[in-house]
Amino acid sequence: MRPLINELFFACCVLLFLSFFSYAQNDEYKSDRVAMVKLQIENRGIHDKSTLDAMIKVPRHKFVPSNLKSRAYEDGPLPIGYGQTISQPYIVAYMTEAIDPKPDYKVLEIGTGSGYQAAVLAEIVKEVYTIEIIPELYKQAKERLKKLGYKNVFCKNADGYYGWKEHAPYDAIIVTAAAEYIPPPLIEQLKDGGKMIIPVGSPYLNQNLVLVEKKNGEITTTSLLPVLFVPFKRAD
Amino acid sequence: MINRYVHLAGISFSIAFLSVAIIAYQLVLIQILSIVQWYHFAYMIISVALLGFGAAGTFIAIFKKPLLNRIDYLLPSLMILSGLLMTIVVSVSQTDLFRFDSYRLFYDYSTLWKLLATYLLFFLPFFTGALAIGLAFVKYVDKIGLLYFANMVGSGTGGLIAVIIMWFFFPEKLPALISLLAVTAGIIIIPKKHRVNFAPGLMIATALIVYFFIVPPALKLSEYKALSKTLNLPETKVIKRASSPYGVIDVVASSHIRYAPGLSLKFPGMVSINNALFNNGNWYGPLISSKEDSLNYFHYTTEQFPFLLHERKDVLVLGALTGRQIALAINNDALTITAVEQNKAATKLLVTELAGETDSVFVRKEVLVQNISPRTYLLKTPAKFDLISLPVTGSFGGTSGLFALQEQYDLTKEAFNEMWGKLNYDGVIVISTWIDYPYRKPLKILATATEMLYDRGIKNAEDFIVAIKNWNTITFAIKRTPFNDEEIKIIREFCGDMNFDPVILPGIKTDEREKFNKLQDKSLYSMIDKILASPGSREKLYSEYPFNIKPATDDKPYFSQFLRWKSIRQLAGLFGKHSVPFFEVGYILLYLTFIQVVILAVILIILPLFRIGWRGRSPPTTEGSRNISKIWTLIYFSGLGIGYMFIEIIFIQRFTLYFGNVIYAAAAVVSLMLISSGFGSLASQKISAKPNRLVVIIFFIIISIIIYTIFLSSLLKTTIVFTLPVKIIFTTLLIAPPAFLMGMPFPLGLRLLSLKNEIQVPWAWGINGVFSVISTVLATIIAIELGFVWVMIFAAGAYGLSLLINLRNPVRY
Repeated sequence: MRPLINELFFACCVLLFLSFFSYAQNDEYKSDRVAMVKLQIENRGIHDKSTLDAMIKVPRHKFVPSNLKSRAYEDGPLPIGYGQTISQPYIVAYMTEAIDPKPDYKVLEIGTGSGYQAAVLAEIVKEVYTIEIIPELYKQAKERLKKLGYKNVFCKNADGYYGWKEHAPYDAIIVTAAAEYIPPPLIEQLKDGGKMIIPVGSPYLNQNLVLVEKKNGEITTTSLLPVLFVPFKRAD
Repeated sequence: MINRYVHLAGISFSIAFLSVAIIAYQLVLIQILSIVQWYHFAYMIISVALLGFGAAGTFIAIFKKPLLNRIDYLLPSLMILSGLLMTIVVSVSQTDLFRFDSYRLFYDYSTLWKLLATYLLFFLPFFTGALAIGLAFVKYVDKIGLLYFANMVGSGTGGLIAVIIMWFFFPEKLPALISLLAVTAGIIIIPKKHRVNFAPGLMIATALIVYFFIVPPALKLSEYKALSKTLNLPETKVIKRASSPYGVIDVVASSHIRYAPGLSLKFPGMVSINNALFNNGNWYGPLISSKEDSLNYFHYTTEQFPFLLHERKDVLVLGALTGRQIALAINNDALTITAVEQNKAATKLLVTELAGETDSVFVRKEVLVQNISPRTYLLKTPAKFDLISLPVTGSFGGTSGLFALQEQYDLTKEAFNEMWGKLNYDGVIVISTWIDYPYRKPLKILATATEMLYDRGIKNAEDFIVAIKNWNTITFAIKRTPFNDEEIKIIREFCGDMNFDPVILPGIKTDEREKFNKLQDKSLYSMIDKILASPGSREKLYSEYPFNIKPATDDKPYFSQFLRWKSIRQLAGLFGKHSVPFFEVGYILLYLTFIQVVILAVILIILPLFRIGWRGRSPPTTEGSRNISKIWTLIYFSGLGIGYMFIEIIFIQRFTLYFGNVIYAAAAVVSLMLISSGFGSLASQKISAKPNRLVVIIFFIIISIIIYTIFLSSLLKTTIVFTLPVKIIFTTLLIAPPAFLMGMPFPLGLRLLSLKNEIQVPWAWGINGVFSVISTVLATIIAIELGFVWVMIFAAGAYGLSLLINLRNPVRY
């Protein structure tokens, strides 16, 4: 009898050590996340509490390739393969705040990529529907989001052009890949009073984002500038 | 005696063959790097090749004796090795160990090592090839004129051969094909007694080359190139490939490619799916068919409005690409459409196999296709047009300034002026661009149009230019006559119907600019107003704005170059230091290449020479004579290195406009310069190596540079209308005389040096090599920052130094 107790005791110790070790590992990045939110996001003018909380909570290092883990909380985008990037933390926060997310929102994301933006949204809104056209990225992101326990994120491997009609209309749509035109189906699937945001620029330079608003069936756009470039003192 | 002649003939042929291979390989590498990366690596390849030659010179200087002792073996071995390396290094460069990505260069610093490793990898075939040539020169020094001539003629022929074979084989097959020439060069000179010894090695080399020709390495494109991104899409594949000196065309079939720039948010239908063409991995154009487009999406784009103002019977499409603008004109009932497109290979596909996919727009009876450059066509044609259209400027999503170094002669002030001269009374020039941020492209287009009008005596440009925008595109129309009230009314109505906003319109109100599409940074409007207001406010804006928005000119045809060094700190503060290079990767890479080239040139060429010492260990070779001063060696040979390469680079750039294609221009200029210089060096054998002779020759070189600085541009413009064969004859007449003279000072200087102080001969090679290597990149930097004229002036100045140093006796310095 005695040896069994010993073995159980040993197994408990191992489990305790492993859980402590994994907790310590997570915690190691938590301080990086807090610093990221404070220095890169809050200091640049993002004040929406739900966005900031979500950015602190989501472990960004689990969304980047393993060789770039140590750089996950740097102030910039990182390559994730297939010519795609995980956006700069500030841009993710900016896009999230721009659609003014509420807990009861249903949001459509076009371009899952690493799944990071979907995870941030999932911390705030009720449901996130995300579409990725590249099969490999879709599989990786779906697996990752499942592992991290996001039950309110629904992934689909399809052409984002058509949106996800079955779950429409959406309170907000986030297009994470630069698009040269706004697909008419997406406008259709946006709720009246809803907001859609689209980045413009190369993968490593999100200079501007376009906010599309639908009010009483009328569509207007506003070119938003996460970083306002003030070249010289202007009269206007 | 006969045997010696036969042997010399063999050596000469062998050197000529190897030289053909080296230059052809250089051009093929430029093409390969343009495919896997981007065009700006052309400068890297030119400097790598020169570095190979410079380092080989140094190597010979240090290990002359042991090398010469084994020359019978070494000469053929090096040639065969060079050939083998030509094939192997391309394959190796595509492995993960070496493959780098320009985009990651500024993000993942390990990429810098890969770039350096690739640089050194490509250096190897040039180094071994140059070592063989250099050894032959040293061994048969008494016949140097003949061998130098074989080298130059071979090099010249190499340029032409490369252009020809690019039509028949894909670039990945070409290194193996070319390497056969280098191997043949080696085989020619294997001594009879050693043939058996060489047989096994030769068999292995040949087997490898044949293998790489049959199974060429797959060229792995940067994951950020448009083709790579497109091929990541499901149900997307390359269905056809075609090769030409213009690049490799990939025809991609996909169920997910849609292209609709400037599309209105009011468009009620589905954007049709198109197959697409890519050139060297870059987006070329969609294959637009009306089959799936029942609503005619063209009518919902910003480019539609100029067609609404008047009937556009005669349309000129400059840069027809895949025919999108032709389709737009057909949709608007144009009677004649002249489609100018210089990429013959792409047009050939579009008029034959792909005709069905583009509604056969290229073969319709109202369409006249001209396979020449747009500038050539503009200068050639007496016709006038109701509408002249240019393709959408830049790529959507930005190319991160990858085309900053590309000469864009269709977007210079002179080009706009020529277009305007071809307009009918109510004719318009139409050009669209993406709205970038910070604002650059729309401002430069407007500045170019406004200055062109001002130069033509039109002070009220705001009455002649209209621009409308949607959420990401802006379309400009520059009219021959002022826009009238009726036209303005039509434009306003069109904007209202399509959710577009007028940005420039006679009598425009401030709130009109933002009815549907608002900008958070409204400085775009104030800057537009400043450009239109007066030359004074324009100039003030140019100097204050952190980006270069001054119009491009034929002297500085770099439309896509916007970055200024003074604004880098500000941009780094705002966008983050990692992001700044992506504003203009090409421009930053040019400077990075320059630094890398200087360091490598010093390490590989100059530092090893210190092993033999500056003054040398031996007394002067000629009894009683005094050593030539080291200052003379330094100034004379550096001046020649800079002067020659500056002229070569500037000729390539000038003739790019003339031939309308950089590969043709590079092949013609390099070939003609090398062949002519070869003849020059042959002729120099008969001239005694004295400083006063050098002064006379260099004086005439400087005079010719001055004449060319003043007249070359207008001479080329006048004769650009000639047919290709006449153009080649004229180019020969222009390039051959100065290049003939430029081939003389180097061998004459070497002869003078070998008479007075032989130990400095390797230094002369080294110094000339270093400055030649550096000058290839430096010439481009000067061209971008100051203009072509200044490169010519600096070239004259460099030769001037080489002249001045000879005014006194070289031994007295």
